Amino acid sequence: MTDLNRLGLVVAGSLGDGVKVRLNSTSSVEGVKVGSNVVIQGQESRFFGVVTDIALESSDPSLQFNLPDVSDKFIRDTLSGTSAYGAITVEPMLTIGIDQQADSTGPMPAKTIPAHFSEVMEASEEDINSVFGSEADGGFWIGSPLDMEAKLCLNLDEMVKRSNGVFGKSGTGKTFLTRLLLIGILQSGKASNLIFDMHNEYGWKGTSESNHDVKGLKQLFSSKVSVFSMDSESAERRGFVPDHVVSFGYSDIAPEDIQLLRETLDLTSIAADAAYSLEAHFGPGRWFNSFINLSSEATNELASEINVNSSALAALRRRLERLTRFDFVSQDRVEDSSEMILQRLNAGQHVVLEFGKHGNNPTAYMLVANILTRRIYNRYQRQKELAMGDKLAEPPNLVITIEEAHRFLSSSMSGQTIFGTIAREMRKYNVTLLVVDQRPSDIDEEVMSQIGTKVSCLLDSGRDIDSVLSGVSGNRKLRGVLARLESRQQALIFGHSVPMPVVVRTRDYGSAQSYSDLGDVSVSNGDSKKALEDLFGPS
Amino acid sequence: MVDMNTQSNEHTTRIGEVIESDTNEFTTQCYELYGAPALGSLVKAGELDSVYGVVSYSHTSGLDPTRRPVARGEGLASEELVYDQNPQLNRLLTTNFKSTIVGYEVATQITAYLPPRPPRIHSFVMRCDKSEILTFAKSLDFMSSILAANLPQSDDVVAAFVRHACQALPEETGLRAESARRLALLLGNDTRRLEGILRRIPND
Repeated sequence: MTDLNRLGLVVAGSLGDGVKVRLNSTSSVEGVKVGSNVVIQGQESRFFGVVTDIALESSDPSLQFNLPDVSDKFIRDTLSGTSAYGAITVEPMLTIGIDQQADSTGPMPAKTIPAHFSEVMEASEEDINSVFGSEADGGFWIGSPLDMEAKLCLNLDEMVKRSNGVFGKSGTGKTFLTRLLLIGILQSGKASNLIFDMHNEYGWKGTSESNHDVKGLKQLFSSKVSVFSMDSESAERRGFVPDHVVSFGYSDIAPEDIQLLRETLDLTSIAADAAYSLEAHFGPGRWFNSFINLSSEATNELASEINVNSSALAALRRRLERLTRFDFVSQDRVEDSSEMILQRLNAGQHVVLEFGKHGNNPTAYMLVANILTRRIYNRYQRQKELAMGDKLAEPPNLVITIEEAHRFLSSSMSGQTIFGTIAREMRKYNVTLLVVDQRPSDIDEEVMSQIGTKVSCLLDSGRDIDSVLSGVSGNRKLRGVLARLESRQQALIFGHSVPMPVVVRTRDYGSAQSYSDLGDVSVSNGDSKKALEDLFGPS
Repeated sequence: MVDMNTQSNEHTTRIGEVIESDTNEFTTQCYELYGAPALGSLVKAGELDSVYGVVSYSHTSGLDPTRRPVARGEGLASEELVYDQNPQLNRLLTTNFKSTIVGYEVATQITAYLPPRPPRIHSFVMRCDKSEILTFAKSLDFMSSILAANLPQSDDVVAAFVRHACQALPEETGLRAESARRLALLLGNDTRRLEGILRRIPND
């Protein structure tokens, strides 16, 4: 144990408000950052906590009114640290028993606070490893704590047990973080991934902030990842051939999809509900085809026949025509795309569905994601029920990644979409979500409460911060930490995969070293020259 | 001036004798007129188990309280001539000084808090050497009693003590800064007063 940076002593505080630490005269206030980790050596336990507030205090209450002459360096140096000193507030999160050998259960949530005059130090690398686990324990190295080089690991077992979320303003690095989490899941083999890749970032390659190309999942794990595309031209322009191009027929569209698209298609609820009446009338799978080609008079007749407002029905037909204009929707179904995806997933493969140009169209994204997820989820449900407790016959765990999740999981939608169902059912059928979103305040509260681990980059809206932190103990203090994250490469992680909330500097992704650390160890044989070019290309 | 100290080359020179003594301070009459040590100096009283004090007040006046000094220099060219032409002044005037007790010695160990009993009358009072000054300069806790007395000269006495200590111990380079920080801890809630004292400890 080298000499850690001793910060100060505990002088006041409470469990509810945090522990007040008076900084040593040698420690400068400016050297401490909110969100950094500290260790407090109490009398009976060792506490591990995070700095939540920093203040300037004085033993002379009139100091700020009767300023001494601080141009005199002697006076200034004398007063700094004695009459005028820094104080930090620390939220004690965990206790580690002093005798590590005796404590076999590891860090426990703190139920008390350290005694007066306990010494406070910066956390060391060993402390980080003992609290968060290490790669050797099966953790996934996601990044480092503030101002440290230690590897901070997530507990992947805990993570894949529940749905998870990545939040942050646009441009704060959500995509990088999501990619890292997906790689972690991929490497561990604990679940299969199905990624609805709106902006073509995850499959073949993506772009970094500095506009460099970074490798996607397919490039790192070629044998385990399949890239499907909605737009083959876009894929070719970006220099690769997708494993399959996805298309749908009219028979794939269900009334539930219309409900989801209510806002984007600008339908009234009456018009959207009419889809159910149509399905009842024409039969499932046939209603869309039968309805879409009707003339105006036929529509009016139908309206009175099925007892639906005729102008609503007419509006519905007009809006549904927009769906037929997508080039991936054809009247007759060419193939069963969801079946193809399912086959890959059952074989242990991971599937990225790129949207190409359609990623800019929320209607297209939501429609496709909903259709496929509905199908896949139903199959999973059936498979799991058939397995009836036989673990080997169960389908493999599946993590579905959706972006702009607030469109699928808003308060109005979450009760009706498959995604809301999956979020609430918590891996009942081995399916969980990874939601990526910049407007968490629009996501239904109940869904948010089911999210197991939240990774949050900088958020600046008070409402967004509130919704991300709701239900987290000590959330008042974490607000200050969350609002002060750097705009890039920093995130606050809390939830089941970490023993305590922690600020993390995301690990590097995009350099040759990062690719070799993260990628599939078995680089394709015979292709080593190309592999070398890839590895040592521009970074 | 008549020099009554025959051991002027010795380390600790005898300055006078204790003529009054109580728990907090003792009064010394100097053998030599104007022979009081500087304000803030460290002195000790008693040959055995000495009691240490910091000079905090000195006073020169007539021995006979009924006979007050009168002006004698009118028409003379300098102040020196007043004393030359009135040699009886050396016996009619006397200098006394008070020392605040700050510690005592027991079996060659110096302790920096009040002794069980003050020094005896007629104890010899002597200057202190460097090691004794260093002992008190390092702790400075005794300063709180001088400061708490809140006499008009308390702040000056404290500052003077630090000045003397720094002058007597030039090899202790951090002494000024360290003393300043100890004072800051003692006067934590009164920055104005602290600033005043710090100004009286210049850098030389």
